[in-house]
Formats: sequence, structure tokens, C-alpha cells
Amino acid sequence: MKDSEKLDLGPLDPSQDEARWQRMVAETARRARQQRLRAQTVSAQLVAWGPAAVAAAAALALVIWGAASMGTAERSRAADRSEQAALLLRWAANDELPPPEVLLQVMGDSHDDR
Amino acid sequence: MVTDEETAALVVRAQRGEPAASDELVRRFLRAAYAVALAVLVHRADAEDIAQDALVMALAKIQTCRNPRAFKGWLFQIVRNHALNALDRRRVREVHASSRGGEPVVEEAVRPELLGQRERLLAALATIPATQREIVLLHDLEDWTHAEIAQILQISEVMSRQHLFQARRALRDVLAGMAPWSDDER
Repeated sequence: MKDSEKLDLGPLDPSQDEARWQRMVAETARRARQQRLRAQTVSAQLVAWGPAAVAAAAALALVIWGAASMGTAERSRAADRSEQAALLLRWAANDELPPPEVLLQVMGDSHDDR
Repeated sequence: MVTDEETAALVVRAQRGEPAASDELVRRFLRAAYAVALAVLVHRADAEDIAQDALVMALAKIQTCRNPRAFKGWLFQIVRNHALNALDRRRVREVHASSRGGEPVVEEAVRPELLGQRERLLAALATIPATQREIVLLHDLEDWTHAEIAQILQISEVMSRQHLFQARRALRDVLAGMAPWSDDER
């Protein structure tokens, strides 16, 4: 037998059993369709829910940012008040009499805060 | 023979979501995918399973096939990778089985006198390099031309012919050394 002649690999050919092979092809095609449908369903849901999810995330970010900014302002006002209180305490402890304009400014700031 | 243009047209239709095109790709390429998987695994049932799984996976992500004309090469790379992963898993299982002191894993090729024609062919295929197996299976089982084989394996046509020649000679030598089979074994 020459090496240029085809080898008979028929026994390895799964399509020789025609009925079984057709079932295998049909099953593979069915699975491929199902898999694609599942992928499409997932991407369709992402597309449908995407804008709503982005809006919700944006709203949540806004709320968190607002709360954080408000907290910073509150902390800053509290720090100012404690500084004024410390200043008054020091004047009282040292029996100092600050110039009237400074006294008015400190008391005025405290008044504005209320 | 399916031309690259016909295949590309089917791939484009499948990418658009046409189920009929996807079905046609399965019909046209399942057997070739099996040949590629068989070249790696040298086990018929495993090769059938892997060819089906790889084709399903490839069609699920067909959008990522950027060049529809090169679909065959793209698909067979997926099949080959899938088969190599399966081969690794099989080796790990075999190592575990033998380290547990269980039954040793005996390849069917070890006792050719007990094997049928199909098993003899598989045993002979197991003795040649994987590239030669893939070429002889695609050429002699799938009727692919050397041009097609060279394209997907990224080798020259001359190299493809040379591999085929060597593969056939080696297989015939091995098969000649085995006991003949009777017709009822087929």
C-alpha cells in the first residue's frame, strides 16, 4: 500500500451512524441556540435596567456627597464655636479686657451662628 | 467543499442573531471540530463531547470572531484549547487514581490483540505527533485540502503534505504490526 493513498479512517467517523450523528448535530444546535438566547437575555436585561441603575447610583452618590459636605460644614461651625469659647475662657481666666471691636466681633460671630 | 466566502456569510448572519445560520455552522463544522478534538484526545467519546461543547461555546461568543473569513481557524483554536484542557483534567484524574493505589490506568493501546478496528486506529494514532494526527484526520477523514489545512495550522502546504506522508507511513507500519481484525469487529 502506498503512503500517498488515503487511510481508511471510516471506523473513527461518528457520522457513519447517521441517526446518532443527526441527533448529535441537532442537540449541539439546540444547545448553541439556548446559550445564545441566555446571553441575549442577560444583555437585554442589562440594557433595560442600565439607565435606571445609573440614575439610582447617581442619586445615591448625590445623597452621600451632600451628607458629607453638610457634615464638613457642621464640623467647621462647631470648631469655630469652640475657638470662641476658648478665647472667652482665656480672657476670663486671665482677667483680660480685649478691645471692644474684638469683643464685638467674637460675640457677633456667636450671635450669627444661632 | 465549503468556501471561506460561504462560511463568512453564515458567520455574519449568525452574528446578527439568525438561528438558522448558527444551525448551519453546526452542521458544517461539527465533524471537523471532532477531528481536531480527536487529534488531541485520541479518545472518540471524549472528542465528541469536547467538539460539541467547544462549538456551543464558540457560537455563544461568535460576536468576538472579528474576521468571519477566518472563522475556521478561530473555531479550531477554541476546540484545540478545550481539548487540551480536557486532556489536562484527564491526566490529573489518572495521577490521582494511580496515587490512591487504585486500579492502574491501562491505555487500550497496550493490548492491541484485544481491540477492534476502531481501537486499533486510535492506538496507532496515539503513536504519532499531534500535528500529524490533526493533518491525517482532517485530510483523510474530513477531506480537507492541503491549502485549508495549511491555513488553519499556519504552516506551508508543502509541510502539510510532508506531515501527511509521514503520518500515513507511521500509521500503516503500526497497524501492520497489529493482529488483523475480523469483519464483525467493525
